[in-house]
Amino acid sequence: MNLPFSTRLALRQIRYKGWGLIGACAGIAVAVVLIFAQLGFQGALVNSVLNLCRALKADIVLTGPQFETIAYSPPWFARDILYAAREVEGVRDALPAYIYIAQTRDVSDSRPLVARFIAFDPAYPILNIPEIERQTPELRLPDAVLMDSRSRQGFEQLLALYQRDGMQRVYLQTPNADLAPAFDVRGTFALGPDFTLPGTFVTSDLNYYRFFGVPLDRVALGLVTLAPGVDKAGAVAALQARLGEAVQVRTLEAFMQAERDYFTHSTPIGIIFMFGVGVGVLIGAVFVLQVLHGIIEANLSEYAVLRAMGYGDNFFLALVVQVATVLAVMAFLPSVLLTMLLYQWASTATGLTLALNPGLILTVFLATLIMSIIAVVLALRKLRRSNPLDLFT
Amino acid sequence: MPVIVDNLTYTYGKGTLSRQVLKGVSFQANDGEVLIITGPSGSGKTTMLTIIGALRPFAQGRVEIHGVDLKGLDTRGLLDIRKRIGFVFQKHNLLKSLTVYENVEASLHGLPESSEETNRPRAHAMLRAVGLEGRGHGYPDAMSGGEQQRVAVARALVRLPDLIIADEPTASLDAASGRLVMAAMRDLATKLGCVVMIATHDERVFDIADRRLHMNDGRLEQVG
Ligand SMILES: Nc1ncnc2c1ncn2[C@@H]1O[C@H](COP(=O)(O)OP(=O)(O)O)[C@@H](O)[C@H]1O
Ligand SMILES: [Mg+2]
Repeated sequence: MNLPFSTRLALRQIRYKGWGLIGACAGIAVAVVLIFAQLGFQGALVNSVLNLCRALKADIVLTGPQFETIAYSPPWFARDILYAAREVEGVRDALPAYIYIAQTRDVSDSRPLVARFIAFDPAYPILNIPEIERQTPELRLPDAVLMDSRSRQGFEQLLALYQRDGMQRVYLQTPNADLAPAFDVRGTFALGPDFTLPGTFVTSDLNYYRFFGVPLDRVALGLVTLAPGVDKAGAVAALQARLGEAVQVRTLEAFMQAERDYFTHSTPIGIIFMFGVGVGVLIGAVFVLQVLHGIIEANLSEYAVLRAMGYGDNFFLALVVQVATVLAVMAFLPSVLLTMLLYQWASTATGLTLALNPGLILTVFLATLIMSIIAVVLALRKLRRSNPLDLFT
Repeated sequence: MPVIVDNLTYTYGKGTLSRQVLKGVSFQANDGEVLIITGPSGSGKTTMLTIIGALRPFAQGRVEIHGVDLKGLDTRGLLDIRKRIGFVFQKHNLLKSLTVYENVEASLHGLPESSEETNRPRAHAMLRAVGLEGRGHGYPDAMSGGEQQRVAVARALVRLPDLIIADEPTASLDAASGRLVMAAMRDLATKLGCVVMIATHDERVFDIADRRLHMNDGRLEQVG
């Protein structure tokens, strides 16, 4: 064995503690799982918002200048802009999408349920969801909507009724209940809930106008498709030049990244989860520190002898860094297994997708190393207390 | 001369609270020579040994070890000179997590000539020399106090130091163990030709010394 002496001593001191480390390791593991949970949920939440974006049939997305996120009722822009966009070189089509967030009444107890309505001309579908395209004839019927079969929170009951009895009539929530418009669920498709909105319906542009009374020349999203082989970046530049300040022009990828950034940076979500990660790191650091303190305390005079022999600060720094790292790694591996169970459970419970991927594992491992570094920095003070002069009598 | 101490003066503290503990100590020691330093508690023995051992900075006087003047050495230089010194303390302070052999070997890792091939035979030979052949694979906790202290002596000597500094090495041992530890140091000093300085109250071991120096209130005088 040719490991450096500091490494061997670090391993031996950990082995010497043996089962005495089980508590600290469990503590570190819990902290690591906490970090995994925070990042996992954050990823899942942000990802859930992207479900709709991913389904959009578009290379480039046009939005109003004040547009921030697709999760709320987006600000409108003029449909004329889409006609102008169609004239730009390389553009195959530019289609309108309408989005409206509205409250519907629960089928049984009339509780309000928030849902998103996405509307488009059934002749030109804007979502890459085969079930929707197959049901275009139903969509053309007056008052018809298709329902997201993965809607949650109150919509499950509606879905169950639909699946048992067929078409269901649902009322929109309005101040005057007698005049409330109604719509008919005539089919389903699978999109998946996002955490901002429990349910999604798809309907035709004409029905949308009937339900909400919003003129169809006010558009929420413009979905631009390009002719084959056209360079996206070039098309974005050409569109922006042609359409000016009246719209934001972004590739679908940039649009999705902006959605992701909005939720991680512009809402409390990112801060809340980062706070959770920070707490996890600190809790873990306390457990690592506890072990380091224990080992250093038990070896103050032994280390002092090594100092007298000529071992310097770097040796002891290397020693505690390695003890801390080995502990972190020992606790990390079982944490990954625990996290897999946790994610599985959480995915079933919330309908969100929590997935372990190499990037996430690496991120959390780095957080675990930061945990160790914090502990090492805090342990250095105690290390300095080992002084060869104290060995003399 | 391997060890030269010239007019060493040391004061703890400053101003009105200051206390002069060493008052112009001078002596020299030859290779292979065992010096025993006696004197009442508080007379300054330990203070002197920590200065000679390059563990305590000092301002007045001169200490030279094999031609190296301790004054003016930086941290690196002090660490290097300490690699040529073997220390034995009242307590053995062996690392419990390492085997006896590994404890002795730990004394070699920091040295410039350290190598896997030579460390092993050196450590085993030194354990044999202190009468602990075949005990290297055990752990210090399984040994008696006298045996542990002999491991500590082996650890100090395995590096073939120019100087051995021992402060009350037999204070916590019974008479027989004390003699074994002292005899081990005596033998090795003669064989390796290093200077040994032992501060002790233990009259039972005075006879192994070549010379006895007596410290009294910060002044050193030769006895007999
Ligand atoms: N760190 C210190 N600060 C102040 N005074 C000290 C310190 N260490 C020792 N002394 C004093 O210096 C004197 C000599 O101590 P020491 O060298 O330990 O003597 P010895 O080893 O002969 O008993 C004693 O009076 C002691 O109280
Ligand atoms: Mg003393």
